[in-house]
Order: sequence, then structure tokens, then C-alpha cells
Amino acid sequence: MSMDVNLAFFIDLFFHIMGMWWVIVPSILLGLIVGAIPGFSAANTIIILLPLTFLMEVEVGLVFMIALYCSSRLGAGIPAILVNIPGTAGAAATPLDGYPMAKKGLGQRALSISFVSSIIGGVLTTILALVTMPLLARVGFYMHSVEMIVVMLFGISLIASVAAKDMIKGLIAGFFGLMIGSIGADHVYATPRGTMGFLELYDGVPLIPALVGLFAISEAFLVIESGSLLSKSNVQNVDNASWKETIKGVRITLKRWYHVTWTSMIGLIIGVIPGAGAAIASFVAYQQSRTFSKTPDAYGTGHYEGLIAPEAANNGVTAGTLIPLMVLGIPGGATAAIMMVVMQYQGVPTGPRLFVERPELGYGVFMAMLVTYLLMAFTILPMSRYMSRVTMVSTTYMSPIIIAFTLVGSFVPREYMFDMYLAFAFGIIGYIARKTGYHVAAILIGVILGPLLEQYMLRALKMSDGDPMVLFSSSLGNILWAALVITLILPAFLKRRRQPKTVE
Amino acid sequence: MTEQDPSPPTSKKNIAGELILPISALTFTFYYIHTVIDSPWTAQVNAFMVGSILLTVIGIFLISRIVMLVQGSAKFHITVDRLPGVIKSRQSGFIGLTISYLLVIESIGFTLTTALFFWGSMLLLDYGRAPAVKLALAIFMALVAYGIFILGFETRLPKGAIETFLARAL
Repeated sequence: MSMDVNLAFFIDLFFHIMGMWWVIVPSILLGLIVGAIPGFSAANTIIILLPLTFLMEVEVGLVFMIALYCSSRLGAGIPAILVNIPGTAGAAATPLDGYPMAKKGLGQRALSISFVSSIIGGVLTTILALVTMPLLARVGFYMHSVEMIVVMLFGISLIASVAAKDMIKGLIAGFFGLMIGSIGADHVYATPRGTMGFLELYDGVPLIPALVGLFAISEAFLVIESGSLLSKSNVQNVDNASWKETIKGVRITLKRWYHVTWTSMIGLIIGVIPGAGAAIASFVAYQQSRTFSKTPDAYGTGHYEGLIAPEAANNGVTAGTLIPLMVLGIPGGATAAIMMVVMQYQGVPTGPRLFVERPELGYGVFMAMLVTYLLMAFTILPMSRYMSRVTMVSTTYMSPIIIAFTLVGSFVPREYMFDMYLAFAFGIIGYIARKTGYHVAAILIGVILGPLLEQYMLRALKMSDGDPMVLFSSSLGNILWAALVITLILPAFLKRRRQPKTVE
Repeated sequence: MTEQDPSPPTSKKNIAGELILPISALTFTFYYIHTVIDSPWTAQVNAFMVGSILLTVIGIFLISRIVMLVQGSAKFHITVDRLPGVIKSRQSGFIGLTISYLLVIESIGFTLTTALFFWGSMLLLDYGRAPAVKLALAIFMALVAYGIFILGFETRLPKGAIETFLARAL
């Protein structure tokens, strides 16, 4: 089947997909719920509903999966902001500035900022993906082990930012996290390392128990001390909040459109790289946002740009992940892999043939993403006012709910009881860390990025027979090394440059 | 548990609490290195790269704290948590209930354990007020959790008498 791909085609496609609102809106609501519950994700929800997807027309099935995928990404940020529980690893950088805002009674504004930056980030990257698809698809080919090591180091350098107030303690937390992330069988000879005899740790430390333990369980134990998430004056803030707070959040984000744009681009590019994902994108975006900020010291205290960066980036990843699948037939992530299964089951080709034989499906996937983000603006934004009231719930009810639901969430991905115990153990580590002035986010960054860094490091060293100079053997790698060094030095340089001005 | 001393700026800083994490990290790093000592180099890269940096950083941290102790700007004093007694007992009780939840869930099933956990913790955290209302709320929330996780998402959470009964009834 051949079809002219021109402006009229895209306009026609847009309205055609818009006509499927009856699939998109319920999928958005379902995606928000599964995104907000740690342990659940778009991928495992789609797997559960796979038989239903096979019964749908291929176009409807794809639209359903895309809407679920996009909204679950956005949904993961909601508990991250309100109760310091990132729904997925992709939202792990969101509470760094989102939660301090909620604690000040500005949860509604924080949610509004998060939603608008996610939606704008999603829309921009989808449009860019549509325009530059063939070009972007090639990014994955240039990113080998050496380049990926530098990308990982970009993310890991966030530890230094998180630790800005007490560098030594931050580095201890970060490198302890990297050590914990190294638990498991090694990638070449499967030698068990640091597993303490637990077979369940041979595949490494599962992310969800670490995530919910460090953030949620430790939080549930901590909030008992204060009796409420909010102080009395901040409860007043939430009580007095009106729709104006939501509008203010929209205005704040729109005013920082350039910030949303470039951080979402980071997400798009990292999303294209197979195996990279939303967690790395949000850490890198947060770190870069802080590096180039005029007020880096305010990060971690409820800085608007500190919330915009990870949210725009992790929604930029959604379009990026689908590009290798659509253009090359290579799935860039778990959800993309499931989509590929559905497409193959329905006899739809993936890769270059898709755009020749079924352009309405190839471009339709990205158009569905665009429509989903647009419809999300109308469905989710009004909810921010009511969602923010979660912060007013007494700890009498909040703490047990957090514990029960997050323990179940840690069980879900692998269905091991061991993962519940592990989440509790991480909860105790997180509680001690927070009580004694260590940052749990630094530990988590290490746990997430440690195994990935090791994997790429080993691959590079194996190829060079153990010669460490391989790390400086590629032109693109060297450019990235230079960029990394610049971003590490730049904050100190900028600070020094600004100091005389403030003295004057 | 020891805790960082939230004392006024004029008093000495108690460093006992902030040593827990570095000492745990130190112990774990030595254990990790011990598990890879006879392994091929591919298994050792991380242990020696990350481990050596971590040991160096912890070394610097410990030296800085020893210097603070010698200079008299810090003190080492192991104290039990300085929270008020009521809060401390609620917090310890809640942690105890969480451990019990994890220990019991496999034997009596998800729904019943969750209901008992909700009821017990809500009573504990609310000083035992309105037990009947809290029981009703706990049962309702446990059933909602059953509906979402076991019925909706078909999660294989531990099953007991309640799950068997509900499966037959529904």
C-alpha cells in the first residue's frame, strides 16, 4: 500500500487519532494509576492486558499501548512529588526538588509544573522525532561501550551535586550505592560477588526494592516523628490553595520554556540509545540543569528548574525509545519490545518497511503520542488541586498505606518474597542515612548506574585486552569526555565569576 | 539507635550517628573484596575500582572526624534516639509491626495480614482511638488491595484462607 506523506496526511492522521479519544482517555487514567504504584509499569500492565490487545484492531491496540506508556511515565512523578516515592526509577530524580515543594505546602504548584513540563517535553520530542526519525535512529549506532561509559559518568556526577552541602558524606553514600549495585554474578564468568549466599541476588540488586526502600519505607518511618507531612503553616498553604496555584505552575513552566526544551532533548537523545532509559536521562538532565543554573545552590530545596529537568527529560525518553523500533526494527526498551510482539502477531512489519507499507501506522504511533500528551493536558492538569491534598492525610493512615503498597510493589516485578525483605532492609538503610545526614538519592544513583557502568566498562576492556586507554580511543568518546570535564569544572568556574559581581 | 546530635551550634557535634553508614560501607566493601579475591579479573574490576575509591573517601572522612575529636570540636557519644518517649514507642512499634507483616504474610495470606497490619498500625499511631472504625477501614483497604493486586493485576501474592474463600465466592 502506498500513500503520499505530506502535510495533509499528517493533519488527517491527527484528527483520525483524535477520534480514538475513547481508547486514549481510559488508557491515560490506567497509566496514571500503574505509573504511580511502585513496581507496576506500562510494560507489565501491557503484558497483563496482552490478550486484550491481540483482540483489538492493530491500530487501536497500538494507540492503547502508547497512551498507557506516556501516561504511566507522567504518573510516576505524582507520588514522587507528594510523598517522596518515585513510581519508577525514571522518576527517581523528581523528588529531589518536587518533594521539598510539597513539604512547603506547594504540592499543587509542583504537580502543575511537573505535568506541564512533562506534556511540553513529550509534545516537543514527539514532533522532533517525527521530523528527524531517520537521523536520530543512527545515534544508537555511534554509541559504543566507551561512549556509554561517559554517559553513565554524566549521571554518576550527579552524586557530587547531591552531595554539594557535604561532599565527603555524599561521596560515601554514592560509592556505597555503587558497591551495592555491584552485587551479583559477574557478566563474564558468572562468579557470585557480595551476594551473602542469597540466590535471589545473583541477577544483581533489583531496582524497585531499592527504590521503595530508600525513599518510601524510610519516609514512612520518618513521618511518624512529625505526625504530618506538612507543618501547620504549610497545611494552611494547601488549604488556601485555589485554581490559581495550578495556573501559577503553568506560568512558571511556560516562562522556562527553553529549560523544558533542552532538558527534554537530553531525554530524547538518551532514549534513542538502547538500554539507557529514563533513569539515566533524568539524572543527566538534572545534573546538567544544575550545572548551567544561575542558582545551583537552591537545587534540592524546591527549585522549579530542578523539578522541570527530570520530568521533561523522562518524558522525552518515551519518543526516543520508540525510534529504533519504528525505523530499524530494534526495540529500545521493554515497552517497545512488547509493542514489537503485538505488531508481529498482527502481521505488521517493523523497521523501514513499516513506513513504506503502512505509513499510517508508522507515523500513527508518534501521532498517538502527540494526541495523548495533548489530551493529558485537559485530563490531568485539573486533577492537581485534588491530588495535592494527599499531603494533608494524617500519618496514622499514610504510613501504613505507604508500607503495605510499596512492599507489594517491590514483590510484583519478580514475585519473590525476598524482594519484600530487601525493600525493608533498604528502608532501614535509608532511615539511618537520612537521620545521620546522608542523601538517599546518592545511594540510589549508585545502585541504578553501578551495574550499567560495570557492564560497559567490562565490554570495553574485554575488547582491548584489558588496556584502559581504550576509554580514550574514539573521537565521539573523547568529545563526550571533554564535555564531562567541562560540566564538572564549569559550576566552580561560574561561581567564582559571579562572586565579584555580588560583592560589587 | 544512635543519632546525629541536633544540638545548638554552640555545643559540640556528636559524630557517633554519622559513623554508622561509613562503617557499614567499610564492612561490606571488605566482604565484597573477599568474595572476589580468587575470581578472574573481570569479576574484580568493580571491587577494586569502586572499592578503593570508597575506602579512600571513608579514610578521609574518619581522619577528619578524628581531627575534630582531638581538636575538641566534636564528641563521640552513643545515645539512644532523643525523640520523646511517646513518638519513640510508636515508631518502634510500627517498625515491629512491619517486620511482623513480612514474617506472617506467607503463612496466613496477603489480605488477612494486610487487614491486621492496617488495623494494628492505625491503632498504634492514633493512640488506640476508635478501634471499630479503624477495623472497618482496615478491612475495606485490604479488600481494595485484594481487588487491585490479586484480581486486577493477577499478582501471585501469598494466598491464605481469605483468598481461597474469595476466589470461591467470586
